[in-house]
Amino acid sequence: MLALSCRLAIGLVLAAMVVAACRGGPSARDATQAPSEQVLRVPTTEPPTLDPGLATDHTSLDIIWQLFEGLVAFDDQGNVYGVEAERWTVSDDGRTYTFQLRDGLRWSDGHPVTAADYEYAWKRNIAPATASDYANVLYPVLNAQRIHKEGADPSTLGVRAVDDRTLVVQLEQPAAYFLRLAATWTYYPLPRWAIERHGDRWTEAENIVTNGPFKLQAWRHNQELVLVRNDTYWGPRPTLERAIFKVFPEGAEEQWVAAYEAGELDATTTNTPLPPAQADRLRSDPRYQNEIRRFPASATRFIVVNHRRPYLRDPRVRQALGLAIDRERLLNDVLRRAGKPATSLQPEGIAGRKPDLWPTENVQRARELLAEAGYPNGQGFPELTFTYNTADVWKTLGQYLQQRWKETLNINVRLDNMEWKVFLKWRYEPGWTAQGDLYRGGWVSDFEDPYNWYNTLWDSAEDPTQFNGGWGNREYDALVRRARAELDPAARVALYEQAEALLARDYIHIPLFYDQYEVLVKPYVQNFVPSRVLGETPLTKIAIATR
Amino acid sequence: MGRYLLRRVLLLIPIWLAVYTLTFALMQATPGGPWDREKPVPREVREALDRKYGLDRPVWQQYLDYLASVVTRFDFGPSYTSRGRTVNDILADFFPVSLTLGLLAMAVGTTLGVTLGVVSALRHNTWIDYLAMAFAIGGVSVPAFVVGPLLVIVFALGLGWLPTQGWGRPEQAVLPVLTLALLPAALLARYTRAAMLEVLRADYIRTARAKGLPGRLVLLRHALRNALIPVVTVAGVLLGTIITGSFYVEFVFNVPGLGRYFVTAVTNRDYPVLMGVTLLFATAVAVMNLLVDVLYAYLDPRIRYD
Repeated sequence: MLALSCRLAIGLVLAAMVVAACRGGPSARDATQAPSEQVLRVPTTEPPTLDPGLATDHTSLDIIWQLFEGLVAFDDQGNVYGVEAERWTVSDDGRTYTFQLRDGLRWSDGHPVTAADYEYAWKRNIAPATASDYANVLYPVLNAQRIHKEGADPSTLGVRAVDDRTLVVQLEQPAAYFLRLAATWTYYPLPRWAIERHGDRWTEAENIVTNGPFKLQAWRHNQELVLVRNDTYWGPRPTLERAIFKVFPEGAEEQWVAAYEAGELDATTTNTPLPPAQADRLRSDPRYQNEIRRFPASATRFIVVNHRRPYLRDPRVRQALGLAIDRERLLNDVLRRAGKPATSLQPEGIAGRKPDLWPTENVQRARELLAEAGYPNGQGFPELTFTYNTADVWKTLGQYLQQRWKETLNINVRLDNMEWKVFLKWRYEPGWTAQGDLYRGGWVSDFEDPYNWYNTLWDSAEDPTQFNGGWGNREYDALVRRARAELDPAARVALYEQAEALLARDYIHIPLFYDQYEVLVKPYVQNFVPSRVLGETPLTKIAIATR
Repeated sequence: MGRYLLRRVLLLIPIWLAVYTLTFALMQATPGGPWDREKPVPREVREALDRKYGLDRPVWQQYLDYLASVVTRFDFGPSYTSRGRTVNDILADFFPVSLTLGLLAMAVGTTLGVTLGVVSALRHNTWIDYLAMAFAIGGVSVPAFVVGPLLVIVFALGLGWLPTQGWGRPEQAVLPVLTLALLPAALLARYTRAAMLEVLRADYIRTARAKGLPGRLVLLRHALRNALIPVVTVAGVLLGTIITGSFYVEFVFNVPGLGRYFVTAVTNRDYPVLMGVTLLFATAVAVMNLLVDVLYAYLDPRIRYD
């Protein structure tokens, strides 16, 4: 009797599901209907901050970019253009920048935007008391390091508002990438009066004062952020009237896919990839062919190699490991993730990169290289450890490498995983430097300049606080340090190209793939093209094809 | 009763201190800190952050300072992750949501569970009884992470009757409340049924019937009231776990409760938030247990606290 009741219950549930599947559901029909207003609803997670001086993460930045703007910006071709700066001049020695602001710039509360707001923001962000994570991007400015590291007076920073519309910036030494930095959020102006009046709470919806194309109407924590078009904005008027960022918990990708399918969202986000199982289903479903889209990202995933280990010091061994991987299969069949196979470290858009210099996949060649290095058919090669932070995607990657390297090179791999924060810390501990072999790494451009890769990551002076792979090359260091200050663009790219050749020759780390953003976008959402750098949702360009 | 209550309330203090100390020790022992980020934070920045949040002081001083700020000012400190928000803001914004969800689920679960329990006891060994108990077994065995998504598939994606997620409108509460109510409903149905069956066989019920009291009166005043005593014990403990343990349901249905902080505060090493949430939940469970004990005295005249 009991068994019968159970069967009945299960049957009922199954019947309901079948009914649901057959009907396709009214919500599924509604979901394809265009809305009648210029409103966009997208998922997000709770932004840690909306203060441009403190922001470090994608979630915060995706909102901040809509609310604030700075002096200059760059397009995807790498051309600089003025935003609040109408024009600017650079002194012959490359150490003084003079920016002229546009006329008629206004904050959302009606205050004019002045050069003093920039001066205030930079001095506030560099002050150690502000404790800004990204304070070091201000380092090229005169005295910035002395203020930040040695406690000098923040008022000595090399930035000065000569008048309301003229900002003069002194640099410590010429820095060819300074405009790239000046385009980032740490250099945005800030409303001093709002910050001084409300303190840490100045970013709440009722206090915040902004200067971008949108303003913050409401921020219901853990529920939604509502952005509306800013009517005091100087620039072109966005078509979109309102954007609603629905806040989901972290790791709730399944939920926002469901909400998208039920018509509660108009697009998904670039902040997190679609869950692999859902992505598989959606990619193969003809109804979603026009809605699932991929965009390039300025980011590379790779395997960090510990150059302190004697058996990994030989470039032939590193190449053998890299050449044995089948990246196409890894992406499409194993990780089931959007991306483009990478044979080199620097992604598209970074000047100086030369992917052709890097060796390409070739299992036969990989075996030969390993034999030349003294390990024919993997004989005598020690067991390697691959370490990753605990996550399904990296576990799958580890299992693939384990199997692949065993099959092709007869090398044994041990997998080791750690909780996220433990992993991050471990990279600077003896557990890695003395005992580690390989770990999963990756880098996302903060700004699309070669400096952000060649200097920030691979200069041997930076390595110990970055990926800590232990690779260093004096010739390389000299090249990228010269390129940093080289003001002639062509000569600068040539220097980075020489540096790239050294990276390729040494095959310092093992490239895996360049990231792509994979998002769901309803057919009625037009011009949804996220930026290559950090995947900004381009609210100013998006339009809704209304009924 | 007054003295008993006072003693129980005072007993909260050592419990509370123990929870504080244990949580603090665990946080200290866990490797990795709040400023370990994917893009390494420069040393100068880490030092500035440590100074700002007082993490540069000796551990014993951090232990005492935080305790003092909580006890004297009821200030749980700033959140390290949400810059500009305090733990007090977070608790004040999101605990009421968890509480509402928990109370609604308990109300639905208790009503459903007790009704099913009584009905199946009265219709003992009939198909109604079997059906109700099948539900009870199902409710206990099938976890929320199966029921929740299943409800979304059927009622939100399939039939389109209800939204998949969110909080604030009544229709958004239906699925999370149902999911969360399932376990208490199932458990209480079984407890009520067992208790009712026992009580219905008791001598005083026969006496009441023999006196000629109407059936409904016998049932409600004599049988049910006595049968509810064990049920209240279970319900009280359940209430504590439902309010504090709803984080999975909050996650699935995107309910902005405190539950998500249990996970994110740990992964972000947001020590003050972690401490605030733990202390609040510990207090909630302790208070709930106290309420149950008080309720006993009301329901069962034999229980007296002197």
